[in-house]
Formats: sequence, C-alpha cells, structure tokens
Amino acid sequence: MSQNDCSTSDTHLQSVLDTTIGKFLDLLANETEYRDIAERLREEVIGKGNTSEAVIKKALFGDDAS
Amino acid sequence: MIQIESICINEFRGIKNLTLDMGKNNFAICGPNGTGKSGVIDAIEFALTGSISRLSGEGMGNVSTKEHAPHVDSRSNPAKSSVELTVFIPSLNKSAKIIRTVKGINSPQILPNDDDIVSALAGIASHPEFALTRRELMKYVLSAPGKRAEEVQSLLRLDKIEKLRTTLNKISNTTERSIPALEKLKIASRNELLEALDITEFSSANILEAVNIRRAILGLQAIEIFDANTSIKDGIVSLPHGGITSKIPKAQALADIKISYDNISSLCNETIEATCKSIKAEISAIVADTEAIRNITKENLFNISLAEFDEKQCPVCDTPWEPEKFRTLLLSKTKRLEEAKKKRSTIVQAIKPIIDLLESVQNSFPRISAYALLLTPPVQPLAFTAYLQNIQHDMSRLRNSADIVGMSTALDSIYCCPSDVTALLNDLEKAITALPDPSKQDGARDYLILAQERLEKYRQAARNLAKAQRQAEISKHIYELYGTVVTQELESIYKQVENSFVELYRDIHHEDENTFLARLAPSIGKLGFDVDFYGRGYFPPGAYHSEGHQDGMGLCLYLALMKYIFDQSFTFAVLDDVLMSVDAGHRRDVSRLFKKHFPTVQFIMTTHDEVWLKSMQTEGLIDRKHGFIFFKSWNVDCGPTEWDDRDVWNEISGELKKSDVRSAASLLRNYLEYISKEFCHRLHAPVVFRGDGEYTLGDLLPNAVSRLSKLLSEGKTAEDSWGNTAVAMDIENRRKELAQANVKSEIEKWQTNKAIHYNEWANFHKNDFEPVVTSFCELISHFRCKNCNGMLYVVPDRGTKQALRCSCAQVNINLNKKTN
Repeated sequence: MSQNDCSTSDTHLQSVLDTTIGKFLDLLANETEYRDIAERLREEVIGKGNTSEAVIKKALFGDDAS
Repeated sequence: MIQIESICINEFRGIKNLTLDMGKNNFAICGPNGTGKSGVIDAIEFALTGSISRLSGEGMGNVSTKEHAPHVDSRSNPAKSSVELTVFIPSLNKSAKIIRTVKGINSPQILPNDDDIVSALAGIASHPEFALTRRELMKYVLSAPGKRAEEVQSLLRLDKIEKLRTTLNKISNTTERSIPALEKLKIASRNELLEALDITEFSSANILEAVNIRRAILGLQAIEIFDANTSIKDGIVSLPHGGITSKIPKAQALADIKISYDNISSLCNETIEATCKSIKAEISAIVADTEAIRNITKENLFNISLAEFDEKQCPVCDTPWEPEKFRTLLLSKTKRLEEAKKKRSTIVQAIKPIIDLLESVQNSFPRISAYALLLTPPVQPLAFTAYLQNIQHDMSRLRNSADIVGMSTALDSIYCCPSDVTALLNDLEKAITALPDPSKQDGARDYLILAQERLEKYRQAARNLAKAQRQAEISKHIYELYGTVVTQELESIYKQVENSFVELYRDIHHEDENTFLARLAPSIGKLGFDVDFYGRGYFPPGAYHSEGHQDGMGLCLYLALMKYIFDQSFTFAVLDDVLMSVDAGHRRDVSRLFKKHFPTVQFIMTTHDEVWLKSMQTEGLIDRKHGFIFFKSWNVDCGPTEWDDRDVWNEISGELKKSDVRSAASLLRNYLEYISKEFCHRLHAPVVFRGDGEYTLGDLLPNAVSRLSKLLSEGKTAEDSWGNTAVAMDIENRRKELAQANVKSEIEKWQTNKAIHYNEWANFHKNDFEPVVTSFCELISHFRCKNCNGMLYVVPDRGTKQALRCSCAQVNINLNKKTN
C-alpha cells in the first residue's frame, strides 16, 4: 500500500484511464498514416490531460486545424 | 481512506452542539424525520471536503455552504460554526484531527500537520463519494443509460474517457457537416471560372486552348501542361495602375451584363409567374386545411429538432435524451405525418428551381455593380443593392418551409424585375459599350488576369473541400476506433463490477434469488443495466423489482463500485437513509453483508426506522450500547435531542418544578412510547399489528407489562420444576412487585376509561401529575437490571425462548421446565 489510500485509488483509476486511452492510441499508431496523430494525442491527452476541442482538433489535423 | 473516531459539531446546520464518539466502529444515527440525522452527515462531509452536497445540485440555486451551513442563529458568525473530526488513517496507522469552520471553509486546521496526514485528508476530499444518499443511490439504478454512464464513469474517474469521446464525435460531425456547403462553393467558383474563360466544359485541354490563344496575342509562351500550380497569366507584367481593379475589362463586363440579363429573363417571365401562382394555389389549399397546416408545422419542428439535436438534450426543451431514443421517437412521430411530409415536400421541390434562379441573379449582380463604380464618373448601383436585398429576403422566406404562409408571400412578385434595375442595367450596358475597344493585347491581358483570379478562387475552394473531406475521413475513423477500443475496455472493467454486484445482491436475497444475474453493458456513451427477474429474462431494475429490491441493487452496485475503486483501501462509507425501503426480511441480510464482505469498513448510517436499527444491533453490525444514537426530537434552539434514560426523569422533574405540566406530560408520554416499544421488542411481547406503524402508548405498555409478568411466571414454574425453590420465590416476588407497580400507575384505568386518557395528562395540576411520574418511573425500573441498568431481554432473538436476561447476566431467568 502506498503512502495514503486515496492516492492509491487515484493512481489505480488514473492507470485504468491511461490504459484504456493508451490501448486506443497504440492501435491508432499501428496505422502508418495515423502515427503522428496518435503521438500528438498521446502527448496532449495522457501527457497533459487535455481533452478540449481545440487541442484535440489540433492534434487530429495539425496546422490545418483552424 | 479514514475511519472516524469522534465528531464534535458546533452551530452547524440544525445542530447547536453535539459530540459523538464513534470509535472507528460502525455507527447508526436513528430518529424520526426532522430530528437532525442528516445534519450529522452534512457535518462529516463538510469537515472532510469543505462542502455539503445536499446544498448543491439541482434546485438549490440560492443555497450555498458558505451562507447556509451555519446554524440559523449563527449566520453572522461563521467562525463559530465548526466541525471537529478526529480520524484514524489506517494506511499511516495514525490519528489526526481536522477542524473546519464555515469562515475558514477552504483552510481547515489539521493536527498534526504532517505532510502524509495532509495528503491523506486531501485525498479524501477528492472522493466525496464516500457519502451516499438514497437519491444518489437511485441514479445508478434507475437513470437512463446515458445518464448512468455519466454518473458511474464520474465515480470511476472515467469521465475523461467520455469527454474525449464527445469531443471526437463533435469534431467528426462538424467536419462532415461542412462538406455540402464547400461542395456548393466549389461548383459556383468553377462556373465563374468557365464564364471568365468563355468555355462551357471544364477540362485541361479546353482551358489551355482558350488561354493559349490569348497568350499568343501577347507573345507569351504557350502553356503545355495545366496542373495545380499553373499560372495562366504567367509572364504578364503588372499593369501600371493596379490591373483589373482600375479598369473595366470591356468584353468580360459586357458578357457579365448579358449573364445578368439572361438571369433576369429566366426569372421574370410568364412561365415563372404561372409556376409561382400555381404553387401559391397549392399553399392556399393547405392553409385552408387547419389539420394539414398544423401537421406540416409539427413535421417541420421534428425535422429541425433532429437536425439541431446535440446528442445530449432536446433542442426545444433541453430535456436530456439518449441519442438513439430521441431519434427513434422523432422519426416515429415524423412517420405518422407522412401526408404532411408529402405536401411540404411537393411545395419545397416546386420552389427549389425558383430559388436556384434567384441565386443566379444574386450571384451575377455584385460583379456588374463593381463595373458601375469603375465608370467615369462612377455610377452608384443603388437599384441593384435594393433589388439584391429583396431577393435575399425572398430567398430566406422560400427556404423557411416552417412558414408556409411566408413562402406564399415571397412568391407574390419575384417574377417581376423592378424597372429601375432594368433601367440601370441598360445604362450600364450603354456606358460600357461606349468605352473604347481595348486593343487585342489589352483584351487578352484582361482575359488572362481575370481568369487567373477566378482560377485561384476555384483552386482555393477545391482545396478547402478536399481538406474538409480528408478531415472528415480522419475524424470519423478515429472516432470509430476510439469507440470500439473504449467499449472493449469498459466491458472488462464493468464485468468486474458486475460480478461483484451479483455476488453482493445474491448474498442479500439468497432465499429467493440465489441464481440472480445482471448485465452491465457499456456502449458508446451509455451504460446499460439489466437484471434477471426470477429467470424470466433481463429487464431494467425498475421494471419488475420492488422498490426495496431496487434500493438493495443500488446499494450493492455502489459497494461494488467502491470495491473496484478502493479495493482493500475501502474503509469508510456514510449511508444517509440509504436503506429506507429495504423490506424487513432483508435488513438482517444487509447487516450480515456489511460484516461479511466489508469487515474493515466503518459504515455510518442514518435511519428513521427503529426496526432497522434493531436489526443492526442484533446482527452485531453496531455495538448494542455505543454504536448508535437515537434522536428523540429537534428544535431550533437546541438542535437534536436524544433519549437518555439517566436524564429523562430529571428532565421531567425539572419541567414540573417550573410547573410546566404540559411539557412534563409530553416528555413522559413520548418517553414511555419510545421505551415501551423497546420493551415489547426485547421481550417479544405480542402487539396488535398496525400497518401504518403508528403505535400509541396504549398499544404498547400494557402488553409489555403483561408480557414481563407472564415471562416471570414461566420462569418461576421452570425453576420450581428444577427444584430451585429459592430462585423461584425471588422470581415470584419480582412478579408481584411488578404487579403492584402496575396497579400504582393505574395503567388499566388509563386504558379502560376513555375520559381520562394519556392525552389528558397535560391538563393535570402539578401536584396531581407528580404521583403519575413517580409511579411510571417505578414501573419502568422493573424492566431493567438493578445492577447494570440494562433492559431485560429474551434469548434467543428468534425461535423458542430460552431465558430472560440482562447484559451483565445478573438477571438470567431460565424459562425451560425440566422434562421428565
């Protein structure tokens, strides 16, 4: 058990979240034409925890997002 | 997580001052509605999180923790309003104190202020789900699949998964929806390009042929290949006055004026007039039919609602809907209006060519307006501007099929071109015709520059369309892949929760639902929840199961989710009136469930149901002596008050000293009702059943006395049979003393003489009432052990009675006779 119980549960839940989204991103990255998109999404969603529309649009369409 | 050792509440909600020692154990707060039970739950939540969920959420607009958490008399002094919680943190093996005042709502005092303790308490603050109310519980069970998914995912901290799904869906839909408009723009810009090139068919060969003729005139090299980067004006030196903008390209301008004439002719003629009149007649026929017009309006509303639906709420009334259900409903409604749809569709189809003609006119006039301004002196094209505004207005009305009368009005005069427009057009044509003809070279140069400008516009439109199509393809693929992966992952998570839920529910309902099954089925944005109903199939929980069973399901689902979230760290849960409607037959099973599956969890529970409290005690879920508090009443000055056997007689005596017989009588009566219920329960006294549960003192106390007397008689008989004459004599003396005390209290008289009932006590004089109090005090003492003061009770709790005992065992009367 880690230092405190709630942190343990939060880590567990975060891990569930990251695993779920991570699996999707792994599959996406396996498709060559979507590899860059997968990396950008990984950086934003898992790395920074950002799911806003503007950020996701940018990750999906790159500089064409606007 | 934590466990609560004690709580001290001051000037908070309905509580003036209250201290409860919970000792890290399960604890129940019992009392009638309105006695302050939930105030304790609010205090726990406030101390741990700084907020009170009951004061937030829907319908609590102007209520806030900051303003309304203090006791009503301490609103102006929020520093006085405080909760002090002493907690134990199992993972740290440490105790700590958290003191939070309403004034310092966001800065609780934590003692000791160690980093690990502060961190543990901050963790709890981020998990307000430790507290569960019945209202919240039902949202897991009875809510719509979309809403349930939202609630459960929020609990599991999976809401980000849903948020990302919604975002991807929105992006996919937005890009998809942008395509038709971009396609239209591409077609329009291509037609403009063809006009500028003076060709009719869009092909590289045709374009190059037309362009190279003009380039040859200018002595420019012919273009061999026409591709995406070809500049058809390549090689032309910029004109000294800025090119086309400072000069009217005569040939093109005349061609454009001709197009405008042609467009007006196409629109303003007898055929179109006849068409308009015919459509108007059809509309008039519909308008005359009230039912038809109403159905058309409805059908149109449904179509707009479908188009504007944001996958969450009805665009008209903001009611939350599951997308599939919303669409199915509206489509079924639309289907019923097939006749209306047909009529509206006929009108729309008939009007469409007219709108196209109006669009052509609208598109051609801006160019010739620009020529007018380039004339010397410039001509203000006011007639064109006014005409275009009218056309724009008519087009809007014709496109709005919801306003069928408006459509009819727009058809009144669109086939008439205003005379000032034709006059201006004629003047413009004359003025441009009068311009000196450009040299062949100038004409060729104007041609190439204009064509290049329109080519670039076309290319941009084509690029925009291609980009949107690509983006739609990407976003759709990603959204679908995301949906597939997430559904698979969620299925795995929910399978674990489902198994746990089924195990818990079966444990409660093992008698008749030991093969119970459930299905938690996630799909995109939804969480289906169906339960087996006695092997007859799967149905939503609210379909056939009783409310009591639904409550049980809600509790089991909550516990299964908490188990998934916290696993071994799940040590604390607050259940506020959660098991209100669990039927009596399953209360003991719920208590056993808590003990069996969650032995390390401290449950803090409120209930207004004394029987439920008894079940908790009997099953050992809560300590018989220290594991509960029973609130007897509440008032705004004192807050909740509990029954305290040691103080009640002093309290009554105090009221009598003040000569307040009414208060003393009320207190005595309420106390006797409460304690008689306890006696009847503990002694298994037969009481005439009342469906409403509203037992009066007359229903209970005589039965309790009679039962105790009978038990003592049976005890004497039993001891006699074993030859214990001395013990039998003691028991008989005890029975006689009870009988005397009963006579003193004149209980039979109260019962039989309706004229002098308990209700009449309040009318007594102080001196008349004091003997009544003394007699009842003595009578009550016979139900208790003189050593431990504990109430006498029959064992076992169910089945054939064996003995009459007290908790210290000083009273232990055998009830079984010797068998020969």
